[in-house]
Amino acid sequence: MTVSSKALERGMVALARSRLTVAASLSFAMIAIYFGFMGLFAFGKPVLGAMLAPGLSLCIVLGPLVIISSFLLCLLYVYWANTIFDRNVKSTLEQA
Amino acid sequence: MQSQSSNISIAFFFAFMALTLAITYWAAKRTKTTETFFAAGGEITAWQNGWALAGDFLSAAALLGIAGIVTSNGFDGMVYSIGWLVGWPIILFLIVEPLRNVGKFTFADVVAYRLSQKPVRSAAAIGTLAVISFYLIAQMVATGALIKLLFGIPYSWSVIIVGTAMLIYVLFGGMLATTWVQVVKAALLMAGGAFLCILVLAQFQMNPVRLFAAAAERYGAKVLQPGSRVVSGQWDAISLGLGLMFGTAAMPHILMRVYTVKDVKAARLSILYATGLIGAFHLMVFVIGFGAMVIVGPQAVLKAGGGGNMAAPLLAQAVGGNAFFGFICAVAFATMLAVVAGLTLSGVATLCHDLWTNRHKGGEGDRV
Repeated sequence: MTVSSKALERGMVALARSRLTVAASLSFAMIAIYFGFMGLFAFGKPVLGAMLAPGLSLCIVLGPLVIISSFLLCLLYVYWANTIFDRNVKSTLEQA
Repeated sequence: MQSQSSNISIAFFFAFMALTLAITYWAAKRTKTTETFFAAGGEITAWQNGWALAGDFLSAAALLGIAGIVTSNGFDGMVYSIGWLVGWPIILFLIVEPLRNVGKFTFADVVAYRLSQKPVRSAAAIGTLAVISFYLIAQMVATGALIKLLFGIPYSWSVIIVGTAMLIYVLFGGMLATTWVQVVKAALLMAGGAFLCILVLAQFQMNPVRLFAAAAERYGAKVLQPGSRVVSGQWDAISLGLGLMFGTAAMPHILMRVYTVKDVKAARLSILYATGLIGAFHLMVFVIGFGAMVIVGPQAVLKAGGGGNMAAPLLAQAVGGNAFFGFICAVAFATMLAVVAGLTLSGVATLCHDLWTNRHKGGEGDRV
C-alpha cells in the first residue's frame, strides 16, 4: 500500500512537472513572439514599415502572423494536454 | 434617412432584447442551486463556452473602437487587437489548470487554497471588484454615449435601459442565461463582422492586399507602416504590451467561465475555440477599418462624431444600405449589453462567494 502510494505520488509529481515544462515553454514562446513584435514596433519602426509589395508592408504580414501563431500554440497545447497528458494521468492512476 | 435607419436598428434591438429575455426566463426556471447560478451547473459544452468566452471578451471597443483607430491611423490600430489576443494562450497554459484543480467559482478559491482564507479572499475580492468597477463604468459610459449617437436616445435613458437589462439577465438567469446571451451576441457579432468584411473585399476582388494598396494610394504608404500617433513613446509600447498581454489573462469574468464546463478537457478546448474566434474577428476588424478608410474616408468618420467610433456603422451603410447600418448598430448595442452582464455576474460571484460566504460566514451556507 505504502509502496504503491509512494509510486503514485512520484508518478503524479513527474506528470505535474511535465505539464509545467510544456506550459512554461509554450508561454515563453508566446512571450518571445509577442514582445519580439512589440520590440520591433517600439525600436525598429523602419524595419516593420519596409514595403514588400504595393499594399503590403512587413508589419501587415507579421501582425496577423502573431495572431495566427497564438492560435497555433493554443492548438498545440490542447492537443498535447487532451491526448498525451490525460492518457498518462489515467495510466499512472491505473497502475497504482 | 437617419430616422428610417434608426427605426430599423431599434427593431433589431428589440428583437434581441425579446430573445435574450426569453432565454433568461427559461434559465431562471432551471436555476435552483448555487452551482447553476455561478457555473451553470458545469453543463455548458466546450463549443458553447468558446462562443460565450468570445462574447464576454469582444466588447464594442473591439468592433467600433479598433475599426475607428484603423480608419484614422492605419496599421497602429492592430497593435491593440494583437495585444488583446496574446493573453489567451497565457490563460490556457498557466491559469486554466490550477483554476480547475482547486477552484469552485472564482480565482480567489485558488489563491486561498494554501493560504490564510480570510485576508487572501478579501484581497482577491478587492482586486476583482476594482477591475470590474472600472471596466463596468467605462463600458456603461461608452454605452450611453454610443446609444445616444446610434439611436438618438438620451444618455441617461440608455444607461438606465442597459443597466436594467443586465440586472435582469444576471439576477434571474445567472450563469446559464448570461452564457446564452453571450453566445447569441457573439454569433451576431461574428456574422455581422464577416458579412461586412465580405462586402468590403468584394469591391477589391476579394484580395485584402488590393484594399491596403488602395488605402496607401490615397493616404500615403504611412497608413501601412507603424506610426507614433496611437502609441507615442518607445517604452510606452512595451508597457502597453505588458498591460495588454497579462491584463487580459486576469479578467475575472473570463476566468469564471472555466467553471461552466464539465471537465478540464472541455475547459482547455473552450479557450482554444475562443482564441480562434477572437483572432478571426480581429483580422476582420482590420479589413473593416481599412475598408472604412477607403470607402467612407477618415474625414467623414470623424465628422459623424463619437471620436471615430462610427467607422464600422458608416461603412455598413455605405456597402450594405440602411438595413445593414441598423443591424450593425443593434449588434454594437447587444455587444455592450452582453459585456456588462458578464462583468456584473463576476462581480456578484465575488461579493457572494468570496466576501459573504467565505469571508463573512467562514465557508458555510453557499446558497442562492
